[in-house]
Amino acid sequence: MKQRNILAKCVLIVIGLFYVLPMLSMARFAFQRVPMALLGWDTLFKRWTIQPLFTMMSDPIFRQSAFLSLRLAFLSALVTLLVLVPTVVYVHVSMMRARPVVEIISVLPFVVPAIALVVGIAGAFRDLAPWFIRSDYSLVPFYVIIALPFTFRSIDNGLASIDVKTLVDASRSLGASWTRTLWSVIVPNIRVAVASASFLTMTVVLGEFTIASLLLKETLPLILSQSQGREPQGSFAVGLVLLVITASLLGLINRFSRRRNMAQSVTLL
Amino acid sequence: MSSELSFSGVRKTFGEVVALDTFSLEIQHGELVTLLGPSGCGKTTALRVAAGFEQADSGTVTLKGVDITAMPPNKRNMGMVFQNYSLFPHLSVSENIGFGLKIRKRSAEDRKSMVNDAIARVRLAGLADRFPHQLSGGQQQRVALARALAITPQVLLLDEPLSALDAKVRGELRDEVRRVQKETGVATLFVTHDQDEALAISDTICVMRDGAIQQVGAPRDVYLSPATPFVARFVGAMNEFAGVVAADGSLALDNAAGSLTGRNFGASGTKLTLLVRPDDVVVCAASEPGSLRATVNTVLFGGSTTVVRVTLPGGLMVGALVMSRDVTVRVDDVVGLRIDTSRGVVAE
Repeated sequence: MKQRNILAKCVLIVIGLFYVLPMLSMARFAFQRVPMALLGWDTLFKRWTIQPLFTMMSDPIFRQSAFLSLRLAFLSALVTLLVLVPTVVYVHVSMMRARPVVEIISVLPFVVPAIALVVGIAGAFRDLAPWFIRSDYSLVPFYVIIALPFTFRSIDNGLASIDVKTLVDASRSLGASWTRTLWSVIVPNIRVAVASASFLTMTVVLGEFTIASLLLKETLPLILSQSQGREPQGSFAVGLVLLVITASLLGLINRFSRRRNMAQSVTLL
Repeated sequence: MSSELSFSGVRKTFGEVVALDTFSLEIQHGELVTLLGPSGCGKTTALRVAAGFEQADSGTVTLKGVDITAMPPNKRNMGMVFQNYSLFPHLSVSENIGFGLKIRKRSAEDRKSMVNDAIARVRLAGLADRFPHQLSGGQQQRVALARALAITPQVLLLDEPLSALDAKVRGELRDEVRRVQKETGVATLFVTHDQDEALAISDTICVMRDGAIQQVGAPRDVYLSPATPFVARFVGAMNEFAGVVAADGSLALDNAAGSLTGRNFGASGTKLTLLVRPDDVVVCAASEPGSLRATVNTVLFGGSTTVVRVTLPGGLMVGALVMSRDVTVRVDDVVGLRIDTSRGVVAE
């Protein structure tokens, strides 16, 4: 038992180093005013600065792309929740037998390459609704689709942890409409799943490159990629900050959901 | 006088399965009607059709004479308590009870007073701020009952609300449900597969089988005068005596176990089974004239009453219910059995 514990800890340490070391290297490259060839142990604590971050943030093109990506992230999360929560609740309440089919559909974005998705949809809409393809917000449906494998599972797991059918029936019998039931009964009981789905969608949007590039939209990942040659330290600094923010949010969700589960498992009487 | 809730020729199918077949039933104001039957007999479907969660294929459901067959559940003003704990986990006891009142846009002051009344009615004072996960199963069902009654429903629907509870709490809550139902005078449709529960709590029992009603009557009538062999077998314990009608009208039991007299069983040579309750079997001395000879197999003490199981020649096992203080027999004693055939039910 003790040997297994030691082995588990070793595996965790190795995996931790695998993730942390590149990030530390990235941090040194981004935030130290030391030539790359001189980055070693002896310069570990020398000339740290957050100036590259400010330089990058003062660039109007960067700011524009950052705001666009944030708007797209919020909109994509909102559309995801508006479409996905009622759909998955309906599946859980009335069509549980169809759940495996819905689950398979949700992983299709893993199977269909982004380029095929863009070519197909853009081809269909270029003549029908050219304004849609021209608009920056045409990215939202794509992002909703490519985030589906993560968001469906998050919402589905949240609903599986409660007795949705009974709660819906109880709420309806007390006079609540479907909308009221969703808003006042279901969503508060899957709020961790809803938050997870939202953050996962935002993470996908903030890191998505292919679709934005194919549709010629200047989102944050594209600008970061383009500015690597012009302002390499700044682009790495922004990338690292985004990574830390995303990881912190996911860590918070995980911690919050564990605390909630522990609280619910305690029956006082 | 129109009934509070009425089903008229309701039919409901799920694919090939007929869950309700021309189901007709009336529930009067203040009456507690129990739908009793084995799993899959359609009792929960009937309740869900009344609540509006299932749509009838044909037939009508009326509430105080108003056709509500196609009305959505949130418009019906029926309170419901479910088998699974159905309290909203994110709301406290008082918020759960006030949920329906909030939807009905009652003022905060009204809500507070009605919630307090409801909490007092189900004797949960002091627990108003607790959350469902801080309550026992029995307490959760009390809150669910208070929540269902807080909206002053026209009909209360109870879907096996006691089945998830342990025996002691189940008994206590059963009495509580009956007391509160009588106090409020609300027409109530109660679903259970537990015959003891149905006999103890109901004004009227509706026994169901395969989507159809077998018998509707007062608990005493259903128990003492079952309309069909199914009702006789399902409600309460039964002894089954199979045999052939003899020329003198008595029933000659199979395996030469003896013959049952006391009534005319019909045409000679007819094969039938007589169903007799253990209460109608009396253990007597083996020498008593007209009694069946049997050997005591087991004596099951059950507090005030004891079940004496005896074996007839040929191996037929018969149970007799005896007041415990009158039990004098022991295992392997040879005894006589007097059977009151006049109360038995004949099954072909």
